[in-house]
Amino acid sequence: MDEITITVDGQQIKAEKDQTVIEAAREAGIYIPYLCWHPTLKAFGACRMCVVQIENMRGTPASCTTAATDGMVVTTKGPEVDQIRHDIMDMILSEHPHGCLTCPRIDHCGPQDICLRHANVVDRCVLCPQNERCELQDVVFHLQMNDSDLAYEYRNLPLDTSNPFIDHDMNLCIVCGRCVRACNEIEGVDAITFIERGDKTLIGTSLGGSLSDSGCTFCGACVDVCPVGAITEKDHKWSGAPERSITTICSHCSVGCQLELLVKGEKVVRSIADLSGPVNRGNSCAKGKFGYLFIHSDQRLTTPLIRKEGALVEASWEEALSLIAERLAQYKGPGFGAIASTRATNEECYLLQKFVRGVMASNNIDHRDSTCPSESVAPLGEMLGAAAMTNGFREMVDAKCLLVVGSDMTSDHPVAAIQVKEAVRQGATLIVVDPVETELALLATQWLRPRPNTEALLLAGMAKIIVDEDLLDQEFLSQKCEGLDQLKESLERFSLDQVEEAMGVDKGRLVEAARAYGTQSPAAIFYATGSSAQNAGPEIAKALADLAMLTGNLGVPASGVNPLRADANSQGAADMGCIPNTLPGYASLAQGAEAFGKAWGVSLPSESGAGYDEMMQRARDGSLKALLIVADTQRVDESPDPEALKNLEFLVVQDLFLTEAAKCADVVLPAATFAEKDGTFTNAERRVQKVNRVIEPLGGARPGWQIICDLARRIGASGFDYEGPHKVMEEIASLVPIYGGIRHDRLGVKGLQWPCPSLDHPGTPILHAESQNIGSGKGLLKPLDFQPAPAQADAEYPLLVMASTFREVKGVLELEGQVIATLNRNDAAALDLADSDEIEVVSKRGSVTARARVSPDSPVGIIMLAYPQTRVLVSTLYHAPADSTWDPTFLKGARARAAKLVAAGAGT
Amino acid sequence: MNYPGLVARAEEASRARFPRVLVQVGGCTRSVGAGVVFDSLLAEVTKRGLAVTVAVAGCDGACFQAPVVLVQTSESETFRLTQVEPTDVGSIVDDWLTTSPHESQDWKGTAALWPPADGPSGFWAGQTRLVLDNTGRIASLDPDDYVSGGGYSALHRVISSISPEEVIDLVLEADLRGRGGAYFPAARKWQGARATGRSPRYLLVNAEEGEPGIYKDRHLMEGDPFRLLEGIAIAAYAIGAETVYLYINGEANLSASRMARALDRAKADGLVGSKVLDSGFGFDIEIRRGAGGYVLGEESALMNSIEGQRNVPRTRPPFPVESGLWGRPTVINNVETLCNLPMMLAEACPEPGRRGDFKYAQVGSDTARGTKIISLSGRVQRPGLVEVAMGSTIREIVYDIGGGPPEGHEVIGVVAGGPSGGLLNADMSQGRDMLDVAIGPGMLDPAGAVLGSGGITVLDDTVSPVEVVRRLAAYNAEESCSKCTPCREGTKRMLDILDGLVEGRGKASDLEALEYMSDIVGLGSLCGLGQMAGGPIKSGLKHFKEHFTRAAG
Repeated sequence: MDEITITVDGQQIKAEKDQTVIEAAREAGIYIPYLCWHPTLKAFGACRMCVVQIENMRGTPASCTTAATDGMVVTTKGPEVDQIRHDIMDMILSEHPHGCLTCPRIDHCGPQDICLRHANVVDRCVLCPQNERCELQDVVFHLQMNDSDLAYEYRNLPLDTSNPFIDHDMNLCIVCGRCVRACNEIEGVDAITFIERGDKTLIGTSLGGSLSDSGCTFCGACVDVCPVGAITEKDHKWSGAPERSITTICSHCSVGCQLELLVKGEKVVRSIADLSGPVNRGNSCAKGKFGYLFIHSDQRLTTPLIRKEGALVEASWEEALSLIAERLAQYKGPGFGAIASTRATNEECYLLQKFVRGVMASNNIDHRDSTCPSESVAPLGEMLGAAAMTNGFREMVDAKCLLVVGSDMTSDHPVAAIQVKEAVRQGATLIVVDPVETELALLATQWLRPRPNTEALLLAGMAKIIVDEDLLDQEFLSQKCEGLDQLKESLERFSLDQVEEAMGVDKGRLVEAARAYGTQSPAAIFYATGSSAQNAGPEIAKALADLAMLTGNLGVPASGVNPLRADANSQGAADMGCIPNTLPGYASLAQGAEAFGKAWGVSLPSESGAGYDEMMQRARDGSLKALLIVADTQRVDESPDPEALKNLEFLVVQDLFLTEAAKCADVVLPAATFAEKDGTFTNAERRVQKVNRVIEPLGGARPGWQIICDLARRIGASGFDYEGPHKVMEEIASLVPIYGGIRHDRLGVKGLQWPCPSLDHPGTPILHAESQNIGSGKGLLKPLDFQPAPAQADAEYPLLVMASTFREVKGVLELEGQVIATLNRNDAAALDLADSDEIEVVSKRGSVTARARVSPDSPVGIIMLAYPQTRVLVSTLYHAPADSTWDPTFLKGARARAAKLVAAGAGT
Repeated sequence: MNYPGLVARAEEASRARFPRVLVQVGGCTRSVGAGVVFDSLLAEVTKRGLAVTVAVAGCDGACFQAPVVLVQTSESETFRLTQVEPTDVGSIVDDWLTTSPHESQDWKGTAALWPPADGPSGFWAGQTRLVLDNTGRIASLDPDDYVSGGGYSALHRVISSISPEEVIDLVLEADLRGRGGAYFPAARKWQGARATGRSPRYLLVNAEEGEPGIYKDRHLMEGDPFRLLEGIAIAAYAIGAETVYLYINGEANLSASRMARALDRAKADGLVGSKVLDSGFGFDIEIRRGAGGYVLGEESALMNSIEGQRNVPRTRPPFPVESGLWGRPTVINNVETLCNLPMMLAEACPEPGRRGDFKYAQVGSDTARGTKIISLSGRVQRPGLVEVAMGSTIREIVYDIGGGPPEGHEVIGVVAGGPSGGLLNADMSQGRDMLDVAIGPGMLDPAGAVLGSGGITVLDDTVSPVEVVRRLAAYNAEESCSKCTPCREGTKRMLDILDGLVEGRGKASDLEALEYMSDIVGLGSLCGLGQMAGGPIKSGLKHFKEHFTRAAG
């Protein structure tokens, strides 16, 4: 990077070659007032507030659009530029309600005073939702102005409060265009635009409809960048200026966005994407932006509950913990199991498995991940040496080819999808393999739509083409991999015609996709397996790891194999050993039992443990007797099958809400949310980031790490006395080599990506980059011999459910929305369903009402449920835990039947 | 088809061309019935079964005489009939197409041999018609007619014997400057785009012409479309542009339809396409229509419009020659600029040292070569579209060509350059009569007036300069794209004050505020619309001070 020196107001400052004057000045701590410029957006040069004078340049160039050049001499103040700024501000204020600036009481008014009886004031500061947090106010004060010389004109425009998340008051708009650019440049959504021209210009939707009509994803980027009160969050709109703000990690998906939570009193009133977040850099999605509301939900559990005479009644912590300690003491051994939360911190996950293995002498521990379960990631550990993303999110913008398999990224990992969309905008080839129509599928260069459960076969076909057409990276293969012959042999056992026949995608298109992936470098893979792959997840992972090794797409930026795990700490839960037969740091029981046992002062149980599904099975058959579920349910209720839970002798559920599982429990413990505790999350790209306590736990709720330590001590275990989560991390670091260099005080704003073996190690952004070895030895190519199980006929539930979300479009659906169920016309005919019929889709888990769409193209045997995005967001973000029927994952992957819904009374 | 083939075909066609009647049907002459005259003449000729060609020509620019009909009895004899009405058609056919000699005159206009035997006079005398040479004189959509007049000889010569780099050198040396209003050396842009070495490169023809009182590009497209296509081909050859976008104003329907038809003919004749004149050079032209708005004439807003974006200007750098349409090197030239090329390159000598030794380079002033097409309107006896040598004075244009004000009135000034220009006064109140200023690139007057794209509107003593300024300000406020705060808010605020002055609500401080705000809007805006929006106001305040002082009460 070329460094240059420029002089700003007599001060010599260093700048980078591609920086603009305002960027260089800002980095050096020199403030130039601005309104349309924003650090996350491209320069626009519209407000003209940042004008400066530059030696040897005519006039007053805008510092946001002028590139800094070596030796440049810039003056940011002075009569001429001050005058221009004043005059422009005059014009802005003449149309912007500015009682907040001109009030005669301004100097002797305390913060948030309300002076509605003060007779002389008509236009009050408190009438603006942005009062005291308004950038325009700041600039006006900087300019030492307090009024406009021009006559004030109120635009008198109606407010738009029609959507559930964002309010528009265009009377306050200063037409800086930040929101429009954020929507375009950051999100690529283009839901809002400038409308009209000349002085009538404002922000709106291109066809004049509502935000949800125009494809808004409610990511809130427009809200975060709006310098005034024109675009605001509906919730806490009138909460005023926050008292403090704390940056922490979003608790929803595995991308690991940093969010600044703004607090007033002990209440989180706003969430703003943090500009310094290494992954999101100021971006967020609807979940991060509005998904904090559950923290203060009035349905939160705030006191322990104990089942007495069949009913759950409030109890003290003392009472609850004593009861659990007493009962659990009876179930030590394989009769006990625990399910870890994928939203608990690493420290909590570590402590839970330590409790299960060290105190309860059981290996029955697992976690659940709805999009990419740990068994779908495990093959990467075996083949590449690490069961996680090989690469990072931000770098993906530089990929030349992106292969996205089975992941509805724009819905499940929206901020990671931004990089994918940007790469496509820059010309990258996007190949989507998905039976479900996702937003990325529609954007893709090639959307390959295999029959559900045949994805692995399709990928094996791609590998075959790459081998047959010799698109191999021979050097990479010979130096870094083994097993090529066995793989080739396995590929010879089938023909492309067979693949085509089984998966239903034209083989010519498969050849095209394989060539794109095999020749365009770097090529990256994202995948998830939760949607349709059923039990083929490991096979998909194997095929993808093979593809990456065959083409040498490992160890370089914007390449690799990248599983998209579902939740904020899905990765951490696996890293911390919340998987049945793997100790923290992926040590096998055989390898690690001794070391861990020694460290914990116990001998570890040797019999292998059960995973989630097996624990449920054992609960049903009675061999599992006691279960501890740590759930941290935030959005939708993902409780296990209540039938299995009811069969247990003793069930403890630690959660935020009274979920279906909690309702079955003998003891319910109220847990603290992510905002109420300290610890770390590990995102999908192996980045360990600090979770910071923002507020005190609500009511009697307690952080999970405290609960488990209290419990262990009561059972009489030693080794559960920690000063705090940072001490737990020290213990983790001493036992888990990939976390060896991780300490809370080392994480800073950027976190550390494992492997980070020592205190001086900077972390590893890209796996396999430097060493000659992949993992501890050579990359292991695996034969691809997957045969999809023939579809099982099920007379009662003939259809397989796929699910996705869609953006509402005016005329198709209104805001309240409806699920659209697309099915093949033959299936529809068999079920006596017609287009537009109101139908009920029923599975063992529950039912959903939907509108039928009959299509000749839709795969046979599948019913595609498309959920209206806004309705899903409203339901899942506002009333946590939500009405599950509005969550796309609710019936996903289930077998179901469908029938016409007969209106009540219409039966005559 | 190759060039000799075209010439041979044109020769063949010219034998059957006469007698011919050309009706000058243009966007403006249609408003006075030229279209109906054409239809009636065609119907009459057909009805009587006469062996006479009836064809459409563009308007020759004499607005005050429209509709004009040219009767070409033979290759060498043409009569020009003015102010023809549909009811005159019968007598035209009787008197001019079926009998001889031709003397009778039953309509209110005039009829005369054309060009007059004793040389041009009046409206025509002061003009130097190089670019408008064909306009009105040839059948617009007859490629053979264009070739007969020397059309495509320049393109043929360029493609067959001059390298693109040499074409650039030639045009640089001839100093052809952009006629859209900025007068930037046209070939400098070609050079810049070529120098990037990147492809594809684009040529974007700016035919947006959204300014009120300007109608030159429309006349060229309607009257001489093949000349524009030839000019485009030469420029595309010099630039190495594969694709040309011809961006025509959204309201100029006749221009667009004539260009579309001419383009079809040119493609059929192999003048646009993969092998131009059977050479190895190929390019394609795509016609795009304006999406509405004065700011579209600003080249970066125009590019945004083609890309499907909102029509707001982009920041510079990067300049379009480096990063224009879709980030590719893009040259933007005006229609009139390109229409200069065939005439220039048909005769310019490629030999170093003798360059510049041709007609174009000899016309004009020391500071600007060639001619400029002026749209002359307002309170003048002979308004129209005129072409004069650079360096002509406004007085010559207004009085010698335009015939001065209507009887009994006095010219008090002119608006030069429309809403982005300014006012010049015609009295001696400022110590000099400003009409003697010579036209050329740059400011005609520091207060605001510019030649721009060549609009001159004459104001006489029936006109209120304050109202004129208000109208121009209203236009700018309406057309501001809204991107820059000073332009969006300032143009509106200035209009508010001017409204007050016109409606009798003026106050003394208004004039100072106007002056002041003009400066701020100019200093603080990104593109020409805002930068020059203060021109009419500042020049009005300066040159018509007493009118404003009176209005401010």
